[in-house]
Amino acid sequence: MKFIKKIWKSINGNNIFAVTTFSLISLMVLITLGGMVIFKAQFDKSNSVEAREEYTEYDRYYAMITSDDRADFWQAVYNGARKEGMGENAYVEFFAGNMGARYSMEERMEIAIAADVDGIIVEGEDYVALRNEIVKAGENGIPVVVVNQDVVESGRISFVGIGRYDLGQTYGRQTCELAEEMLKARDAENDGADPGKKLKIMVLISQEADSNGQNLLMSGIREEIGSNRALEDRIELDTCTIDDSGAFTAEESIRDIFMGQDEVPDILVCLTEIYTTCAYQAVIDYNRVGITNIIGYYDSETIRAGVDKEVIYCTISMDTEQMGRYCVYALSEYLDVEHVSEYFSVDTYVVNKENVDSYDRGQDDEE
Amino acid sequence: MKSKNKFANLPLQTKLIVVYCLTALLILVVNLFMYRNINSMLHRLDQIYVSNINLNELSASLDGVQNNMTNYLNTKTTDAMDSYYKSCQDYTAQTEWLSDAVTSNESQRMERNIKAMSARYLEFTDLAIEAKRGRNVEKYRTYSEEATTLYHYISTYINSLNNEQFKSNSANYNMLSVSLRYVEVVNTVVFLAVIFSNVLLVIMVIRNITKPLKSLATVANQVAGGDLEVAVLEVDSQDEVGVVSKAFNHMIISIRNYIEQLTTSMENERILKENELKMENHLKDAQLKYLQAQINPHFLFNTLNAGAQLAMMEGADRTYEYVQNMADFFRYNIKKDHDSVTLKEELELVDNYVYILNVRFSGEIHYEKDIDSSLENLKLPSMVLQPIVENSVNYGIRGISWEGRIWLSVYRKDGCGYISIRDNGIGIDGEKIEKIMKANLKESDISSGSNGIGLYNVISRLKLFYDRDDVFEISSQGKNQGTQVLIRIPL
Repeated sequence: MKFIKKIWKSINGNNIFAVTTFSLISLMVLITLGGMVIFKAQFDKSNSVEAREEYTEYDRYYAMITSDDRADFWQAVYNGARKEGMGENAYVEFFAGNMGARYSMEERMEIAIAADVDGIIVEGEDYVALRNEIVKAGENGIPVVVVNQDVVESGRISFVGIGRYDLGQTYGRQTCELAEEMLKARDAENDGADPGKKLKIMVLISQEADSNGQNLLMSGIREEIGSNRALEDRIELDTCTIDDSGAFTAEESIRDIFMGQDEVPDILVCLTEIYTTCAYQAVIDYNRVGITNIIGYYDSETIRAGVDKEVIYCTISMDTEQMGRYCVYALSEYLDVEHVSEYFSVDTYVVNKENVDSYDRGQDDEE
Repeated sequence: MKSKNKFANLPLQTKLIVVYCLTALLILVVNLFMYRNINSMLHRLDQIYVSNINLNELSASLDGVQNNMTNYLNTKTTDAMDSYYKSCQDYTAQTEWLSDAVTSNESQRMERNIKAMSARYLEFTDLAIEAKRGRNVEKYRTYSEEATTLYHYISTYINSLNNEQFKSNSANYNMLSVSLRYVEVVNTVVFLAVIFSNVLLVIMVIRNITKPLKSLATVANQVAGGDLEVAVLEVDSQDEVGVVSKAFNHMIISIRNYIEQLTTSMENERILKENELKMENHLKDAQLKYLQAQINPHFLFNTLNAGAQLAMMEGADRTYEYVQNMADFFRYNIKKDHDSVTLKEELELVDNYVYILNVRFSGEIHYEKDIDSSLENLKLPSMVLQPIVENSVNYGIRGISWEGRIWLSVYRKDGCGYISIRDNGIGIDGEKIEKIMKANLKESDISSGSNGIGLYNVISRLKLFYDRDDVFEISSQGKNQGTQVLIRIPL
């Protein structure tokens, strides 16, 4: 205060020397302080980028292991699982998916067991190595939920997905509907005089996938079609095994259908997302739009576009998010009370030309 | 004001030291500030890749455990076992700093996984070692295979984490290097600004210090140029310059007073001298008057005596002329009581005198004159020529056996007027001439009734009148060769 008073006195006293000296020194101090403030701001800015953000900490850690983490289908399932996990204070991760080396599902299972995660969500595929890993996880006290396709006798605590037989029935119903429509159109063309050739229906089945699941699915389809008396003599149901042992082979196998055989099927029933997408592109490429119809699986953006353009008659999809939610729910429930339902059924729905727009929106919202 | 006075009163040396220290201090503070900035930035740079270094060490340590385990399983030496336990200890210590929390941060989850897997890995390696020691071949193989598989997984995990961290660290490094450049600019700007302000400050303070010195120099120059009427310097500091300025002010005032005193005393002296001169003049005047007064009665006595003799011997006509001349002579004497007369008047007086003498000495004196009439108006002191002629008569031609003659001539030569009175009498020796000129005649040298003192009076008056010494000259060729008196009158 005394100092300020002195300065004020000097200023009042018109002491130019004192005033200028004071101003210059103040200027220097201000410049230095300004520099400090700028530096501090810059320092904090870079600090805040560098410093570990306030990450949320979770009580539980669930590993999710699928054959293709990047696929839309699994991304959607993961989103559902993550949302559910957040609510239950559990973190769900595509486990060991982002590593230097590419690991198989069983290797990833092994890592997850070694890393002592709280729970594992694994895409069900019916082969021994994976089953063994599920058993091993159980032995290590890590609960495993199998999703999409069941792995029997593995000691998994729960299965989340659609029953293969039910799914087959849905396929069958859609196939019958389409076949009826097509026959009707053909009859109209021929004035009902000649029933003509049988309608060729081809179900694309995987060479790799477990025979159990596919058999169940096929029997569902056959059951449904067989129950339709009107179509009894007019259709020919066939299966085609797609070689998806290696990368990119599925696409080649599907193209072979259009090129190699004398008669290209009238209806293609695709049981996976990738088959649907490949068939859709092949129909366009081989100029079979309106001649060969597709019944697809899952409703990715491309598939919805196909439905919209009527290249794909309809696609059978399921509530993927619900699937993810169920997985996390099952694990948490098991960890909490050591008991959980063995089977969670996921809602399925059919996307066709009429309702594709509404699903469009629904899907977007979820994303 | 007080603060300024405080500064102003400091000695010059202290002032300069204060200015230097102040500016140096300011620069030091700014430097410290910049040093601190850069230091903290560098520290941060050092910290950036620490996590990578740690992970590399962890990886090396893991390799150590694996190699030592394999080594022991191969050789079963005590050394290998010691190395194994040592590397296990190292590795465990290194996994300590790994996070074991499950968070939304991928790196932290990876750390947690590495930590968990490491614990499991070490379990297997321990089991393998134990089985080897217990010679359980089947088990140690199984365990070592398990451990090796895990070792590969952990290695990959560490590499992945290292990679992840390297990515984010690189991003941080970029951010930091941008910041560093930014700080560099800020530092440079601050430094330049402060240096600029400092220079201004120094200039200002130095100017403030030297301002009185400059004005002192200016005033001193004026004084040196002779202008003492300069304004008194304003002094508001107590430093050396202030002291010198004050002393200078005092000096100027003292000089002024001194000069005033000097002027007054000179004036007084001048007045005194003037008075002295006046007095001298008056004295001379008095002396002159006295000498003139001395002549009159002496001569009057002789002439009256001659007049009486003439009156006895001759008739009235000649007496008349004689008395007339005598009257003129006296009239002149009475009239010419003032200082100067014309040459013409003096010559007339000489004529009267010669006439009177010729009357007195029966025409013994042959008087001739040759006058340059243009010089008749020359001014000269009165009663000058007559005493000279009288001297020529009394000491030159009286008593000679031949015919006495006196020649008086006035002529112009070398820009001066000359009056020459020459006789053909007995002459005069050099010694006597010198005595006459110096007024050193003894009583014995002067015959009674002589007019010797009168001649000296003439010489003195001529010298005084013309203010020069060479105005009067007596010359004689020798005995019986006559005498010449020459008066040189400057024109």
